[in-house]
Amino acid sequence: MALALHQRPDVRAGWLVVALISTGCVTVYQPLVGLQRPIAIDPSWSNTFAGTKLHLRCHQADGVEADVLCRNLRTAFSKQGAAVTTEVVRQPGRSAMAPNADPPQYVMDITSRRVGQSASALSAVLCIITFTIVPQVEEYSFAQDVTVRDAQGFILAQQTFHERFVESFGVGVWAVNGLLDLLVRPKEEQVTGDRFKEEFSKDLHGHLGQVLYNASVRARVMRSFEPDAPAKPAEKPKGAAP
Amino acid sequence: MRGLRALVGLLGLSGCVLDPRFLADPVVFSNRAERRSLDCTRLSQLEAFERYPGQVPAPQARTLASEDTTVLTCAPRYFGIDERPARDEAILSTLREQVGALADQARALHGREAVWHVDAFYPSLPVAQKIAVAARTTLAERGLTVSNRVPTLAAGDVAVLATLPPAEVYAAACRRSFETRVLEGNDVFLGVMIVDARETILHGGVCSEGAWRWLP
Repeated sequence: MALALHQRPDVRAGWLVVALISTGCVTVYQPLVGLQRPIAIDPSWSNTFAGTKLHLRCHQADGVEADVLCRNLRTAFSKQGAAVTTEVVRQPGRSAMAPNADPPQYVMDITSRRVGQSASALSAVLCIITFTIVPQVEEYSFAQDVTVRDAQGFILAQQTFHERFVESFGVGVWAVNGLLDLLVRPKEEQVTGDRFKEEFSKDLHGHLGQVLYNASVRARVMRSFEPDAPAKPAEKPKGAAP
Repeated sequence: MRGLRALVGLLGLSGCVLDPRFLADPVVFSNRAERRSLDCTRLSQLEAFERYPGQVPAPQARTLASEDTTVLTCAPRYFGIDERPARDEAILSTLREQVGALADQARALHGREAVWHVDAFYPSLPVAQKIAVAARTTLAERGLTVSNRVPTLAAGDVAVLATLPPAEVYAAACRRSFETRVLEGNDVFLGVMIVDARETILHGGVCSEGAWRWLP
């Protein structure tokens, strides 16, 4: 006797596969401290940091890919006219910046770290039992500590930013938001896909640009508005090869 | 179309109502502008319990020892992000911290016998007044003698000063203030200003005995 269509194991398995394939994440980004404030520079202007020599030091921390951060920031600052060198500091306090005949005007240290993560076990269980119709919700909070120094090590600017990401995983939440994005929401309001990354990167890059700009103005004031003298090369450590 | 949206909404809710934590989150069911208009702070559970009793449960002893539970508290901002010009918003939203740091540096330079005069130099007059009042209040809070009088030079002096670049104008105005006895004796002037149209930080300088000094 033939089974009804919905009772056939291959059809059931097919539905399960479809449900799993269509399951996805919806991630919402929320700026918490600093990042929601407006900035006064225009990050799309290619001349903001023309002639500026910047050394970026991205410090390795838990839950963050420092090399990716450095690479993205290098691109962002280069587009604004800065000559950028980067360095990923794997061990705290161990910078590999060598004495240089052409030292940078500014050194920007960025430590991006995960400050919190929360997930509900009940939510995970419900998510599995209901074939992800009930979403599993996780929250990640991150912080970026930024310090800008001049060539002599004088601190010109310091700032900390905080943000969080709320990630919902499940077919229900993904399908609903996918449809809303497709039919209702304007592009800047969409939450599926990588929109949260674009929004966060735009905020972070803009604010880091503003921090660097503020630092450069402070350096000018500290020099009593004298033109920027070429920085002296750092002394070679004793015993170093010529 | 309306029926489809209602169906979509119901489907979405069916997945969400089972997790009250999800529903209570301020980012859920809010659009981008609403998410950005919240001022959020992360507090320890003990601090959150003290501030919001009834809404946040009391921490257990084990939690107190580890202090790894935090509570995110959010409140809507008084001003929307786009209600004021970007630079004004950026400066005014950090005014307390910026002015506090400048007041601390200025206080370290002069003794308690000084009489402080304060003025702010900012393109927008209402914002300049807010900055000046904040600086006066902060100095007074630190126990210093603060005058309400704003030292004003003669119109001829101002006309000449207006032609000078920022590198010279504050030092020249300071010198002239003591020469014309607008300031004298124990008077100390704290100027708070921006020097570049695209910066969002305040600079400070102190004028004492005819000499101008920028604060680091």
